[in-house]
Amino acid sequence: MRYDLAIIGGGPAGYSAAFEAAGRGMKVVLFEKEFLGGTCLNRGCVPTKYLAHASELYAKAKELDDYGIQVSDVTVNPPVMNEKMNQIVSSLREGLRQQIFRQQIDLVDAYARIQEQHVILADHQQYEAEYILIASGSKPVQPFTNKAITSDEILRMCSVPKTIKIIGGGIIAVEMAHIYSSFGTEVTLCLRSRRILRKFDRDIANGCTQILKKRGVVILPDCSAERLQQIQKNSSGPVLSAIGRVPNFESEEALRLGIAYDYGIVVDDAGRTSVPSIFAAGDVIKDSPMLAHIAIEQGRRAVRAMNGEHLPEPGVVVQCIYVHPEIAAVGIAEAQAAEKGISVISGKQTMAANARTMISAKERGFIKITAKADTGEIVGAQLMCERASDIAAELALAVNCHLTVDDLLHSVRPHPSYCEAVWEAAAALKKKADKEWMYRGKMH
Amino acid sequence: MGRKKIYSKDHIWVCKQEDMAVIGLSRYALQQLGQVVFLNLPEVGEQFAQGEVFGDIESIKNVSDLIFPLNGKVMKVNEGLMDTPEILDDDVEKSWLLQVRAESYPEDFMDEDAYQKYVGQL
Repeated sequence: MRYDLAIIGGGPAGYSAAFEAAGRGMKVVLFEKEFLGGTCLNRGCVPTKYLAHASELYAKAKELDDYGIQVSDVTVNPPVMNEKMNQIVSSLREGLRQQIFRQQIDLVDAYARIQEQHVILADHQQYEAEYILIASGSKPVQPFTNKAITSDEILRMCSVPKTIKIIGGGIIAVEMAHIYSSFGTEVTLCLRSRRILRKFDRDIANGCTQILKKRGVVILPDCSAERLQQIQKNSSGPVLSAIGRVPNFESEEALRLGIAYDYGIVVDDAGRTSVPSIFAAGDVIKDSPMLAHIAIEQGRRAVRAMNGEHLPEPGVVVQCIYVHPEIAAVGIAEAQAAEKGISVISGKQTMAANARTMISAKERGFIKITAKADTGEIVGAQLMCERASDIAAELALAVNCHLTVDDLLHSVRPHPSYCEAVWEAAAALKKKADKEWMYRGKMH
Repeated sequence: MGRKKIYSKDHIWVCKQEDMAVIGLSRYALQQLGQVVFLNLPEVGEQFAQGEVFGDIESIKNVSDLIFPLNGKVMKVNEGLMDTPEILDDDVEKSWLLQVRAESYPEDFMDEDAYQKYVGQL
């Protein structure tokens, strides 16, 4: 049978592309060799967010006395926790499968390989398609100490260890450190560099470091390979290697098909590879931020491009770290603006004076908004506060729609709410900008 | 460490130590801030010009930028202070923020008396 679109991979990029294409009347076949939902649903965002939520409930339960609620014997039951986590994952997977059938997308549970530019081979059968979308995702970088496990394996672990050593300082490492320290595990973060979250603004990295240390997480910076080997050798508990992920597509395959490849499939902003009939989206592409919500948008954009639609500029990237308080980064921060030669001003508001935060949280938090110095156009925001991942949506919209500080100030927000701090941060920014403009006015 | 401080108008004190400048935050600034909860400092190797923001300091209700008092490169950061910002005071030995290889010192630094007179007028 000939299809309009054949998709390799049933993760966020793959299924979102399949739904977009089916909605447009395209005949679609989707190949998934393991589980629908990809890394995000099965080994990434969903199970880790479940564990993060459970660990936070556990930590909160211990603070209930502060609210005049007395509880005793708060204990963790890992098998129950694991079963519930697996139930949620299975149920979401089943929901996806049903949606795929409802939209009359053919699902093939098999490993698929591109044979030629329009032909896929799966389970000894050939499938022809006008377009092919590679959405085969990513896999963890292999640990360089042989006893270490990856994030895939730790999520299958049905116990809460007494101690854990985590190698790495990126999002996965930090989220795991947060989860296990909340459960009372002694956590050591072993960094190969100087600080955690190197790709994030210094404000976020320093803030998160402070919170992890307060929770008792030991952070060892500048660990050499020898030191890591030693740490692994002397470790009585598990050693988690969280040193990054790599695209799940072999460079030899790219070479055979004539697809440009450079530590990931090279694509334009519509997902086109160097072969006209082949597109790619999600973690498998070069310089992918490896975020499910970005993969979803890339999958949809690829399908729109296949249909000849003119695409607007890709939206700004929103990155979230699900620790407590949550962390979110939207657009660019001051350092990136400086690299791009954009003159910016930032306004920062601490959450300590925010009523909702005072009621519900003990940790320090802030919202920082960055705008162009000359026009006041919002270019980015950094958040470390309750519901940061939700509040980030407002600021992403502001960046995408080229809103200004004044636009943010003219919008009413509920009281009391966490998002009130957006107004406060915008007001701080405005105050600084006014000073700057006054100064410039005097200079001219 | 030498303890003779000179001050910038942005409330940063500087102690000259040969070609290095040790910098910290003035007692006046700390009194204005109240209890400090967070300190955001740069990394070793970063270069700043006079007047640039090199970090920020948070108290319960306020966030203030820290303004670099001279031109130079950060050679050492008091990282322990970032873990326990609540102990920050104006002691040179304990509460220095950065050690900087100074390229030049601006002329408008104030000595202790001039600085006290300056803050008295604010």
